[in-house]
Amino acid sequence: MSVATMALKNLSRQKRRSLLLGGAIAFGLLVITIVNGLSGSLITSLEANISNLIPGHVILRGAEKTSTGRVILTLKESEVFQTAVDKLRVPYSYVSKTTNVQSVALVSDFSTTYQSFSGVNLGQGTYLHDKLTIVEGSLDDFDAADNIVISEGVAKKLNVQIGDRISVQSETITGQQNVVDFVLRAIYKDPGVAASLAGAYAPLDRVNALRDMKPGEFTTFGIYLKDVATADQWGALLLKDLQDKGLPFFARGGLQETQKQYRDQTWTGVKYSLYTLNDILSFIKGIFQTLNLIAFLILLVLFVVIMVGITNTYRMVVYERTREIGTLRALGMQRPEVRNLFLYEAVFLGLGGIVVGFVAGVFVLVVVSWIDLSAWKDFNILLKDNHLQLQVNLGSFALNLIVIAGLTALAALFPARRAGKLTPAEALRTTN
Amino acid sequence: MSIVELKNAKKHYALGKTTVEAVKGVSFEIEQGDFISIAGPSGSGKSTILNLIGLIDTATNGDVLINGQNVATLKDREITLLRHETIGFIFQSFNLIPVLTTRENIEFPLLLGKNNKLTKERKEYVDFLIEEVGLADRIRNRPNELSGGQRQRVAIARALVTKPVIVLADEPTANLDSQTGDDILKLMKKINKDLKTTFIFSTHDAKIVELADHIIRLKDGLITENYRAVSKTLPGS
Ligand SMILES: Nc1ncnc2c1ncn2[C@@H]1O[C@H](COP(=O)(O)OP(=O)(O)OP(=O)(O)O)[C@@H](O)[C@H]1O
Ligand SMILES: [Mg+2]
Repeated sequence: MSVATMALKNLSRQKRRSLLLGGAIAFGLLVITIVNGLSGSLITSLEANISNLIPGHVILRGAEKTSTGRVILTLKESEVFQTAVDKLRVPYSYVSKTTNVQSVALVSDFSTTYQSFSGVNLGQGTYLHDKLTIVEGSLDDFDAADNIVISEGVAKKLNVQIGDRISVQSETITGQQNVVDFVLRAIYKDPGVAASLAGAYAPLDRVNALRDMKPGEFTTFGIYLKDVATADQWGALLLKDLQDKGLPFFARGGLQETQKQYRDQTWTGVKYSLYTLNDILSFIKGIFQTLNLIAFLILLVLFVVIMVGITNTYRMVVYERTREIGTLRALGMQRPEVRNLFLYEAVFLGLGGIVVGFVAGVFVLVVVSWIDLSAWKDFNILLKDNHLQLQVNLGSFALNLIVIAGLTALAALFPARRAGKLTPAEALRTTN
Repeated sequence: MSIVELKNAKKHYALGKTTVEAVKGVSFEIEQGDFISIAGPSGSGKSTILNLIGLIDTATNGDVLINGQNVATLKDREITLLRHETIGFIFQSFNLIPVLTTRENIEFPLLLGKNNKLTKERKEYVDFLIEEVGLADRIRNRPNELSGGQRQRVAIARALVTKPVIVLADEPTANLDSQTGDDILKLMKKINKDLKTTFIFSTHDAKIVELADHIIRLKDGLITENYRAVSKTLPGS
């Protein structure tokens, strides 16, 4: 029997005490697992839902200042971007060219609603063709005519059927009012976000006509990466490459920031901006990170309390087992072995608590992910098909395991070392 | 050569501002295979001397030699190894490990020290000792499921398992009734004869002293008598 086996046996000696301390550790880990799991799942769902709404994970836009001082969003050609993407071997699954209009009025015979509107290519092999779930109508030969596709929610609001006419009213790039009529060709499944965010799509050239842009122009070049998590990395590489080619860029930032730069800066000619999914989400992610940090700080306090508890408990344990320590030393156990006997016992306690807490946490997450949250409409964007997405991070579990096991060992180190230092004579003489 | 030798050994304890002279300078030798009793009234220094011989404590003054080796110069690690290899212990209050079964308690010293493998040969010796102390039907019990006498038998087997040269027993019968105590001493005596293990035990019970081959009497930390029992050494008389 090794020192470790004996430590394991000793753990069962004061069951209540072990359960209490192990339980406290388990509780801590339960909280960590749930908080990490929830915020992780919310962010993942958010990312997935948002990337359906924006035209890529890495996005390039161009702006031109006219002689009258008006800023026009436009890109005349995308070769330079595509060349850079190919040269850097950016691992992407789609690229897109879109003309985005933030808000247009969609008018049916019955009512009007305001939506974002995008001129896109919806042909075979495009991102939207693959990702939009069509519930009525179809996208076949979509790009050829005055077709429009809207979401279920919007269709309901406008009270329209496939084949109905929808007029779209918007400003041209020079500020004139313009109207173009479209025919409803398809309705897509609500993406689980607030209805106002679920945009309408029409062929690029038709939207350009509405905006008084030339055929073939667009406002946004978007890249959908194979791995969303690498958006920042590839964004930075692309930006550097394009800047090195001499393209003028605005400083990188979120949407709001870019808008401000269009207005404030005294610039002329054509200038580009690059932003990523993370730039858009950084604010929301920041909130989750703050929540995680707060949870972490609370746990830190909890673990300090637990560590004090462990130190005190093991001081008591060493005191209670003093004579036994004397016996072990008399029988030939060396000082470091005696010390390790107590250290192992504490570490096993910690590991037990961690595993129990983790399993309980995962169980809670599984149960929560079964709950139908469709009633929770305003937060749809944080959900996947009306459910919280189960997400367990084994990496952070491993980290927690090491850190907490280390902390318990540290907490028990002081009493364990005292146990090792006892001389057999004084240990055997104690009367308790 | 004697296996244990004390030369003018002294042990002083600091007790507040005063010093207690527990052992005031004793010298004696112990021969291999003897059954030795250290006798004397309470407080006379019996336990202190056993602790010196057992390398549990170190002498304030004078020398302690085990197998001719002076232990004063050894480090704690070496002392622990020497203790593990040469000395077995039987305690007044048994001192078994509560979480271990009878068999595990007896095997325990074999898992310490340099050679800590439970070989077949060693397991057989454990079996032999279990038979010898009469606990074959109690091997799976924990100490709290055993009587005092049974516990002390476990302790005796444990003390013998490493085949030590010397077994030290500080008042091994003090916590037992007189009948059980007698049985325990008879068992020790039998093992002393069978295995030629040297036993050194302390007692203040005059009856028990008579079983010994070699008797050392103490009073106030000094030896008053040190003699070999004639009847034992001269079996003819
Ligand atoms: N750690 C200590 N500190 C101070 N004094 C001690 C210590 N250990 C023993 N003594 C003293 O040394 C003397 C001898 O003690 P020891 O335990 O050797 O006696 P003993 O012969 O074993 O007695 P008993 O038969 O009661 O067990 C006693 O006066 C005791 O008070
Ligand atoms: Mg004593």
